[in-house]
Amino acid sequence: MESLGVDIKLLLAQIINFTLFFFIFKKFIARPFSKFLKQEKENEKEKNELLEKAKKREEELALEEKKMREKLKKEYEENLKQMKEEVENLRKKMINEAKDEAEELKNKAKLLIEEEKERLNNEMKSKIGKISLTITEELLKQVLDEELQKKINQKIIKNLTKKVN
Amino acid sequence: MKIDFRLKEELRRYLEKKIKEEKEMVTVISTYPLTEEEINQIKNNWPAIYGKKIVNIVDKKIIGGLIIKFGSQEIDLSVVNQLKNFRNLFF
Repeated sequence: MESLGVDIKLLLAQIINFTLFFFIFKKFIARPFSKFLKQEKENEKEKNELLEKAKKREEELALEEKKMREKLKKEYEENLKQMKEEVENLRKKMINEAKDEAEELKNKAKLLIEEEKERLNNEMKSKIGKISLTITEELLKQVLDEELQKKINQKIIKNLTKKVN
Repeated sequence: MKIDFRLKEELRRYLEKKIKEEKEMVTVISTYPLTEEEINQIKNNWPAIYGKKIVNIVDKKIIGGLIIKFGSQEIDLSVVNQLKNFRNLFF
């Protein structure tokens, strides 16, 4: 060995030195590092999982939001439609009421006009009657002279028997 | 209020006399004074008043015709009355 240039002691020392280095490296550097790597990997995995979950949840929330929005929109539209119908019904009802009221007022006015017309007509008839009678009386006073009156009286006297019976 | 008996009796007698007179009297209202002939014609055509006293009153307001009053009866044959009836018929 010595002829080969290998120093046994040095080799042994190097072997021991290497072994020690190996053990120390393994125990204090390789293991914690490996553990750290493993931990990091697990953390990464967990992070990814959480991210995935979060993404999924986000998607779910977005879907729910969409559904909710659709539902709200639908409800809003339904409410709007209902309100429109109610407003339309109310409008129709008010128009009908106004029409009825107008019709009633019209009928009342018509009735009043008819009554007034009737009253004026009667009044006019009465006045015409009175005037006609007055004119006739005046005319008769002028026309009936004593001779005519005698003739009238003769006729009355002749018919007196019928009148008294 | 008490009314004196004598006064009552006098009033009764006066009213009876008036009624008797009314019964014996016929009032004829005309626009001109009736002739004796006309009065006799009236008496002849209404036997109930024959022999009764006839009083003729002239009233121009009746326009024409006659009104004969006898007792509670009144026969209105005046032109005014005819016109009134005519008016009542139409108005």
